[in-house]
Amino acid sequence: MVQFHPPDELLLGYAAGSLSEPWSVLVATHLTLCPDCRRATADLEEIGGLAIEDLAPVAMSPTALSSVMAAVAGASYAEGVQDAPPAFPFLDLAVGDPPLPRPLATYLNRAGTPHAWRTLLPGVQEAALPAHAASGRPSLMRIRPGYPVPQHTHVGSEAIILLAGGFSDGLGDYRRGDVSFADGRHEHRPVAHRDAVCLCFIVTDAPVRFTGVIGRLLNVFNRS
Amino acid sequence: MDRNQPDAAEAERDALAACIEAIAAHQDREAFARLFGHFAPRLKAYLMRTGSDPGKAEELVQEAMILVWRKAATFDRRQASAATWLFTIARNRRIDVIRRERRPEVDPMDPALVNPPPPSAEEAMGTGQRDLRLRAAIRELPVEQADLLQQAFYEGLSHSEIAEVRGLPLGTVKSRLRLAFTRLRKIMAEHI
Ligand SMILES: [Zn+2]
Repeated sequence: MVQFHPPDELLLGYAAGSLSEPWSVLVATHLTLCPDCRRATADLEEIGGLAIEDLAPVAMSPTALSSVMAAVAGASYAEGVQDAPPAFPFLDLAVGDPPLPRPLATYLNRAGTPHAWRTLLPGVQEAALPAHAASGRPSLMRIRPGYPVPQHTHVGSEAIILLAGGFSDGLGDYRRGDVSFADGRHEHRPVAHRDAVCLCFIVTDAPVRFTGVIGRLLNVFNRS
Repeated sequence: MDRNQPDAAEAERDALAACIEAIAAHQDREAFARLFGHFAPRLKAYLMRTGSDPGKAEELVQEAMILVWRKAATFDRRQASAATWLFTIARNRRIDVIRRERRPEVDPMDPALVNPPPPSAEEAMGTGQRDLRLRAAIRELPVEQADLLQQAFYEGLSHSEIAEVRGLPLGTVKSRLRLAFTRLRKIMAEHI
């Protein structure tokens, strides 16, 4: 079972519809794997329902109902069966690995998958995803067993959701579905578990700065 | 709707849910007209609050109502009230059209979906009334918390946008919303 959940503000933003797409993808991916947060989010959406009920109605145009009726008349109502999302060979998932949650798979399919992994540090590879949204830089990261996840200091917020493998960060052991969230107040230094390659989806709000000697070198290269 | 009469509120809510079910069952145009009459002007108000001009709001409501007709079969009154279900459709339409983004949703058919442990008998009974309990719980929140919560939903504002509009420090907005959220969760958990 999932142990580490997104902070309330992300669930609230997801329910209200104020998160940008990459952040929403991260939340929906967690919700797929976490029934507790699914229910909390459903409760939050009820607040949206109450808001609708409480607002003073604004009259629609007199012809609105008939145009909607005309639009639905004779249309086919069967919802198209959703095709299975494509496989992502570049992810190099092992046979028997759990499938990518669909909100993320759909997003990868739509955003355009990166062509290759880029080595950030020994044992650490990153694939930045094209960001279409005004806020939220999405990327995938994979870390070989036993290697440290680069230390980040955060100018903005950063959330990592684990898709396969695991890591520990001093606060606990993170597994599939767990979310590690940092909002600039703390540094964290997770290390990948020794038994498997760790695959994560990451969203940052501001460019991540790496700390430490190697980090300083990387910042030089990232300065573009 | 008279909020002091929970029975009347419940009857109204059930009647609106029945309308969606009638559309799903036999494409009931009368039920659709009733649903439209109740919700379309409210959805329009919501979309105008979130920044659409009246013309755009009108267009979005019409598109949302077409989706209501098409997706009626996916409505489940044990999961959400009619108002909430329509809210989510209008919200998603707004995101798709105004922000030109796609709204990622949990797919109930996703092979990766993790299901909850089967609910106990009391839990299964309680789900239909969660929205009524939640309404009561929100009414009990301190005014400054309820206000921000509603602003988040009425206007779809992010925390930092609320802070800006209200002239409050971001930390204050965050902590008030967190308090409201924690309290609602606690009340909902007690009612299971
Ligand atoms: Zn969770």
